[in-house]
Amino acid sequence: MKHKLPLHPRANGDTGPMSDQTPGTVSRRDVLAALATMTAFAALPSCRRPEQKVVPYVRQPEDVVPGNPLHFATALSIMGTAIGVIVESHEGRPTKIEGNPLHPESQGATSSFLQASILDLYDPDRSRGPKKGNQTQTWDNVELMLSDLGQTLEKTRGQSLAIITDCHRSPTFLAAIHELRRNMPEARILRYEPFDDSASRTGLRLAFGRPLEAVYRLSEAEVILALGSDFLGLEGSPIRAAREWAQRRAPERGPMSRLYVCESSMTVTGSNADHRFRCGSGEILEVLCALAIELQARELELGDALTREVARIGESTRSGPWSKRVTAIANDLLSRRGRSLIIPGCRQPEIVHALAHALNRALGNVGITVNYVKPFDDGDAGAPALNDLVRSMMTGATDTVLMFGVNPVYDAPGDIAFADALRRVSLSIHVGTHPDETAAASTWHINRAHPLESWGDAISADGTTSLVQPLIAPLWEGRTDVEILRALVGQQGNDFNWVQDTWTKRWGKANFERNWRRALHDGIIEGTSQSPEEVVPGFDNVAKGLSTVVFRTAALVEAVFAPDAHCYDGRFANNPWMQELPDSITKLTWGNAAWISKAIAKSKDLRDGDIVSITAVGRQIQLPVVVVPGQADNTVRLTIGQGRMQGGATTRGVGVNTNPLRLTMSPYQSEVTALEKVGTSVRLARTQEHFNMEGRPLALEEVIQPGAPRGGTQSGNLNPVPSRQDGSVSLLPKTKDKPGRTWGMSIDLSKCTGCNACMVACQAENNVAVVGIDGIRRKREMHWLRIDRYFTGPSEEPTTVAQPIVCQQCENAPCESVCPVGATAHSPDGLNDMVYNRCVGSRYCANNCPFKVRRFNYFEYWGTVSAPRQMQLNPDVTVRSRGVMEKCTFCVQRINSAKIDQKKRNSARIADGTIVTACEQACPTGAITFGDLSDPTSHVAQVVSAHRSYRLLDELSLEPHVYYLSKIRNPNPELAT
Amino acid sequence: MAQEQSGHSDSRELGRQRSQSRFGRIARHGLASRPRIRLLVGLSGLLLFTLLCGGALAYYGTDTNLAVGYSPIQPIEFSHKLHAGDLGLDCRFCHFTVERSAFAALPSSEVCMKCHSKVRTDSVKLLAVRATFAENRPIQWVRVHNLPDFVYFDHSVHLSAGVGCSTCHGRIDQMQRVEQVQSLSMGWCIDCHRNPAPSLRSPSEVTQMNWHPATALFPAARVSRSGTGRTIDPPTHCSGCHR
Repeated sequence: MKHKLPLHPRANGDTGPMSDQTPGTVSRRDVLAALATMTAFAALPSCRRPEQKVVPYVRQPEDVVPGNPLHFATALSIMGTAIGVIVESHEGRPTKIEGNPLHPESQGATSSFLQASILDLYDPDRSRGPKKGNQTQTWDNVELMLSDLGQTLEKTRGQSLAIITDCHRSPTFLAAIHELRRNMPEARILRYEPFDDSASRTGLRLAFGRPLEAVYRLSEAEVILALGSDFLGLEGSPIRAAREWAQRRAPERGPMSRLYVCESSMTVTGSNADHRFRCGSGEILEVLCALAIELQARELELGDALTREVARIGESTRSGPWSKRVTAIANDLLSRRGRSLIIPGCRQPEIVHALAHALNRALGNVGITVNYVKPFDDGDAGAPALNDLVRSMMTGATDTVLMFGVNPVYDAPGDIAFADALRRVSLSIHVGTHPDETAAASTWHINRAHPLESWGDAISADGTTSLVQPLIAPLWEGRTDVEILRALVGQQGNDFNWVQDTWTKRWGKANFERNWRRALHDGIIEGTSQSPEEVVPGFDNVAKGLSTVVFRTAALVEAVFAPDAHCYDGRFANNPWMQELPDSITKLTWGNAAWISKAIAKSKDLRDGDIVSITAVGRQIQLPVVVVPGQADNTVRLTIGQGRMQGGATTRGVGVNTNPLRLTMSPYQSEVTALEKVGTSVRLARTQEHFNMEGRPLALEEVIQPGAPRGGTQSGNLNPVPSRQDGSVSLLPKTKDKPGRTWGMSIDLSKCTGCNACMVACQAENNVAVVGIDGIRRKREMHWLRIDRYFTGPSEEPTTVAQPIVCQQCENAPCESVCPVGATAHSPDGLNDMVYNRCVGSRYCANNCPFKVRRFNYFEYWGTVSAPRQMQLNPDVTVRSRGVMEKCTFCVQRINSAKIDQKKRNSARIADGTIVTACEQACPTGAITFGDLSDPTSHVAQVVSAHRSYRLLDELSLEPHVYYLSKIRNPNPELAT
Repeated sequence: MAQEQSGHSDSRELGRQRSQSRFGRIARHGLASRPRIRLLVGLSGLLLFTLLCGGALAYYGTDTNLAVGYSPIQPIEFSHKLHAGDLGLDCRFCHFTVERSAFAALPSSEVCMKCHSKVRTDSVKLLAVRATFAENRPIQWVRVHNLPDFVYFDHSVHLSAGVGCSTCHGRIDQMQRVEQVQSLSMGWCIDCHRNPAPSLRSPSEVTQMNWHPATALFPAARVSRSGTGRTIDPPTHCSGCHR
């Protein structure tokens, strides 16, 4: 070679027109290349997972074994009762709420609200400290302010003070109120929640002359008439009611009860009725009076005055289209005297309660199907009391307002200008977990501890008392109502001291330690359930009450207000699980809509999602409509609880506030003066938009044959479910040919009410992600368990079946055969395993699944969830990342834990009932049974051997391990058409 | 053009010879030889890339990458050799949850101080331990044996089946600083789950460090323990470990 090769081709002038590089120098590219190489080499020796820290305790707490959860009994108050729960805690971190089997209000089950309460504890939008205006304050300042205030108020005997509490059930808080009353006897104290039992109390006082609460015992009731009552859904003690009602809904286990429901729009209770009658909410009194006439005509003693009054109000209904129905119900009630029950709805006026309970007494039901007990606290309550207070605030008579866990700025009826009144008073103190609308309008906001962070006690509807114990130290240093009220009267001490104080007084010092430990362990305090009160009916008083009833002027359209299925009265509005939980009837998520009847839809030319403006009581709101089958023709159903202005990032912009349309005097019914189509529409986020089974036998429903004896087992009269596999030939193996253990599940549609408790329980147990309103609109919901709801029959009078769908765990699973990477495979005990770490996200399995139970992670859903909410995650279940398929696993973590336990104890087998899936555990009616199908003695094997058991899409020979039991209705032969 | 500028006489001659062909004419315009070099470079680059990728894959698959030999420096110079080896403390003295829980929990500072409030109270090496105890500040150990989050390993059930500590963790009693000796890969797990017998001993001997498979009690593949009658039948299906 003559010439030396240039070291760098570009260095010799081979620089293009784009190059500005001086020959011979080092280019920017070279530096980058060198850097990249260096980084690569530097990274080589550290090619391993990032360094992780293991942090042991400094002092190991007693009983804590890392990896093994602990369980503590406590109680949560909701819907005017307290429900005993058992909370699972992983190394001091509560993760899951289950029912307490010893507690009569729970009996081991939970509701969707109870399940979701755990996520509220970790809500990142909870208030994080006391505030005066916008300024954060120290607790020292709060204490100083309270004790100064207390001293000032004592001088005037509390004249200018008003205290609004929620419908609490705590004897210790009540004791603190009594203590306050001693120093400030003239303070005005009232309870306010948008939904309470004040109508029921007033009604019972009218009927029996003294304050009482009704406790129903549905397990004893053979004929039930619900009048506008959603006792299985959103009022009273739905868990207890559902559990006891379901005891008489399996025809194999004795005679079935019969449920009549009169209601204006479809509820969970109505959808489970044997006979459901549509009637306007205001017509219910007339129907009840018509029934009373029929009963009186059949020799039921009601007294002259009452007979006269019911005749005045009910006669026209009795002779009208209702005559046949009322006669049939009356006959049924009378034939089951002492075994029947009339349940008036919480949102019905007090006169309905008075008459219904008077009839219960006359029918001899008291002491058998219904008990009356002393009320927990008979103070002022409800919207009228709140209205009085607002008047007093406006005049300046009340100058200081203290609010515990209430939000009247948001949820007071529209004619109560609570926010204006708050501005008039010189000092308003709001105690609450969230910086809500009332907090923003108050001078002070004090952050309250969550019930899972506090010591306390709670009395359930029947008097059973539980201690409330904290699962975790207050996350944001909140304090309890008791501590704040005691600080006002200048008393030191924390919630723990005050609860101990209450119960030391009750038990005495000598027995305290034993009783206290026992009560904390069991979750109930023995001997606290109240004995029923004897009642004498005051028929004349009821008659007097009825005499003031004027005939309704037939409203053109009536708006009825119900609790929202997502956020009850607004308290769960910031809970993403609840917002994404489909409504039992409309399957609507994230927000509310006006439910309208088909008649209104037709006359106004409205379709689902159309925005309407509704004018009532002089105010107007705009919201989308949804056309709901089975709605009374002139009824618009609105829910309370959505459309919050404050209270967290999750609830922002979700739903519409309907409170402005309510009135103090009739808080649950308003006359709609105008309902107009606005012209725009939205796409509703619904998980099921189709109501019809299109002739496919999916959710089977049967009717007990007329003429069946009322005494004996009625299953012999059932239509057998046709086996669709008869005579067909399949190359695929049958389940029964497989040896060994086979996990299986049975779901009894006859017991399932469609209450959704199982869905939230599954979400809490299995770290199921929330996808948001856009995700739902794109059909990307992640619920492993969904509840399909079908309407059959005419759309005006439909019958409804709810059908929970989980992964059917097919023996010949179509998903397994199409997975290109073997990420879903069969386990020897009949599970269809899903292996997240193998999944590449081809989604073939979801396409090939005939039940559509597989869910795909389109995004890294958990990655965007804030740190406090991630604390709820179950450590026994993998948190799935983006691009991974997932589905119901039959709670394989619970199965494995039982298997490991069995191996360690070296026992021959896992005892039947040891493994309880999350849905089964939560189910209030016991509709779900899980166990080993191959063991003929197991509960599940016995259930599926029932005459009415069947499997979905049996003709496909998939051999699913989930069996359904058809829904059985028990209609009155008299009403057969 | 380009060749001429480069001043390479050989290539210029090559170019002249080629210019007689049709391709040569193109070559004069610098469109033949440079693509060839580029092709060569590209091909060898591709080869190199493939080799690198293959190498990386192979590297990732080896036990080396899967942390055999990983022995991070710990915040406290704790010697298992001294405590478990020379002094002969049983593993469960400190890792006391191992028979009850999925996790063999690390001892709390309190456990250290139970002895060290009496023994070697003035040792400089124990300064940090005493400090954590006094200040109620936990020791941040560096994790040595780490399984992916989607693996649900349970210590207690392995111990009750008779899988000893040393089977997975090696001779801890000889380690000054703890080191990973097994790959802890899925293949390694499954090997034993398919044929557990060689790794099984009497549950009473699980913490014995010098146990050797040659003295294994149970030679059969599916073993039935005498006395207890338990069949050791480890899961080999997916949900056995992944959930």
